Amino acid sequence: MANKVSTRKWFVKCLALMSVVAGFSIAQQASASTAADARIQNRVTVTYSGGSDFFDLFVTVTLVTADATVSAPSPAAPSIASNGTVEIAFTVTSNANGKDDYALEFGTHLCDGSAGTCNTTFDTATVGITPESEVTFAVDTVPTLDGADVAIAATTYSSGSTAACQGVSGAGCTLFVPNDDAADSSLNGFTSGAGQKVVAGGQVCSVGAVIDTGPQGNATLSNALSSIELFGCAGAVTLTPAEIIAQQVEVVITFDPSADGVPTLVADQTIDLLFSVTGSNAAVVTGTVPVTLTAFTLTVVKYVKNIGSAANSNAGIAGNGDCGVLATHGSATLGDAGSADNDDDFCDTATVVAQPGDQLEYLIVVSNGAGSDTNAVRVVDIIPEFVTYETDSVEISTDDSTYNTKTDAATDGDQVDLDASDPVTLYIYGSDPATDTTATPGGETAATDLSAGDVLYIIYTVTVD
Amino acid sequence: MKFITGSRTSGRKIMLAELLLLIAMAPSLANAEPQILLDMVAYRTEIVIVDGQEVTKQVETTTIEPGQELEYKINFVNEGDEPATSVIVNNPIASETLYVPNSATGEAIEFSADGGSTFHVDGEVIYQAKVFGGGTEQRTANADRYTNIRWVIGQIEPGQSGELTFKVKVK
Repeated sequence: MANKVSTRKWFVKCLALMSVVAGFSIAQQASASTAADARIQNRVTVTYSGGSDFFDLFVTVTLVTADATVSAPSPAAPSIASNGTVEIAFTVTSNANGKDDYALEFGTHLCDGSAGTCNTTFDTATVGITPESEVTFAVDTVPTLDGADVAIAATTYSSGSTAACQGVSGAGCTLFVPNDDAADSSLNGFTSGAGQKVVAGGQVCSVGAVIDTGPQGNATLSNALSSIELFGCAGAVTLTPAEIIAQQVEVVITFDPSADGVPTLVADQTIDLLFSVTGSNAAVVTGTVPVTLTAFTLTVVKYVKNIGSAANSNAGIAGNGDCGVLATHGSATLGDAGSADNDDDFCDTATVVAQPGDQLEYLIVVSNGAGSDTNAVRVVDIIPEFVTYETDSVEISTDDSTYNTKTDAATDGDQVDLDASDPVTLYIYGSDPATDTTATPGGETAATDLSAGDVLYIIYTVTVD
Repeated sequence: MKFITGSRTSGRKIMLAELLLLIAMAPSLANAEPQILLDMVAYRTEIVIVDGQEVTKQVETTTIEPGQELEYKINFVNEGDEPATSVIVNNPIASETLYVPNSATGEAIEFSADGGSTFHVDGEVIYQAKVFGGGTEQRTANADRYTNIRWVIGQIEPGQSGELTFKVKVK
């Protein structure tokens, strides 16, 4: 059942609850309670010389609702990329003595720290929302807890016999329970169905066949009892008469910040994901899952070194070379590996000295942070004055080890476009575009992504005029 | 006589031959035997506010919540013309309920903790408990182990009526 939240009404309710609820309010599960809709039959009989008479009286047990038990969510405090998704799972276990319908709601709100009750870590400036404004979150489809408990039949024990499920672990067994008020294949809400779970005798078990013998109401007759088949119990079941057999429902919600309306972030933010579980008459159980969203952290650094020229071997002149930057960088094809002056090193300072005719290599390092994938990455580099770009000299690596040569044409299918008009400009995409048909250099936008943690190394060569 | 949700069935099976005999002898036998009729009502305790005071009130009910007490009131009357003798009123305690200690009223009250096989007065009720290692051991039963309550009334005169009550707590 779709459960779209984020109405204004619910938002207000959440705000009210947030002030009183810290963490989780977890109800204790009741230990014993005769099932709702069970009929208590009392028969009085008189016998005397020459005759007898009896009288039957039926009293129906009514539903007593109680707060559901809501487990701590898992993960409790996830951290995800702001364009990633996270699944948050928890269980809701009914505590009523009969079928009780529960509603689940999810949502959150964003506002700036000045509001006090709002998410104090949220930075208005970075998301461009006004104080106290509400961001609507759509929420995945979640199941409604059609939950249900029945109590096991006390007759099983008072007669001195051992319940079939007593002490059972793993293997299937049949649990006899009082009848409810209708023969409708649903036993106080339990139905035969895959995926149903119950908590019986302190253990979580799967539910097999459910036999609903209807409203016969005489729990003193074994053939008047309904039954629930259990299997796959987590441990040995220990049952006491009238103990509640409670349905347990696992709820999994998927939080997708970008699809759910979270604005683009430029710094990490924590957003409280709120949920509430409400029974028809029970108090609201609420909880908060703080979700940390890591923002895009794209960094770009540019280095340069003088590799001299055939006619003019200036690579080793004083002041050139060993500036101690990016010492780990080494490419046999591009550097003079092993030369004494360490001029493999790129510098990020302005101390590199060159003469006309020298060739300079530029290295651009684009790093995407661990937090987020980044879409449509495009580096724009304007070639400086007084140098001439060497045609098709761009080489790109993702590991600073294997460099691949790229060509300058705008529609050649690779991630480098050159605009040769003044000023000469290089466009380098995060990856080879999925389609590279735009004749305008730098015009591609499709699928030029950098994944979280990716680094792009770009090297090109110019000659000093 | 008031019937709430109960039902009555004669505990006595009448054969066809016996029926014909009864019809033939009707004028002389019509009032010449005892006939005890039973009636029962269940009450639930409710607390109501009267003039700002909490007042406990017993209310006739057909529904109950777990943990609440039910009081059963059994009325009997001898509508026959002869005294009824060896009268015993027996009431098994429903498995969904527990007998409330000292709640029964009426005379000659006895209890059973073994499904009605043996009866004893309150406090002297025994049952056979299974013991570790096999075998059984006779123990004195607490009220919550009682499986039956009965009143050994003895004789009820024609036209005589009475009331028996007891309480149970719903598990």
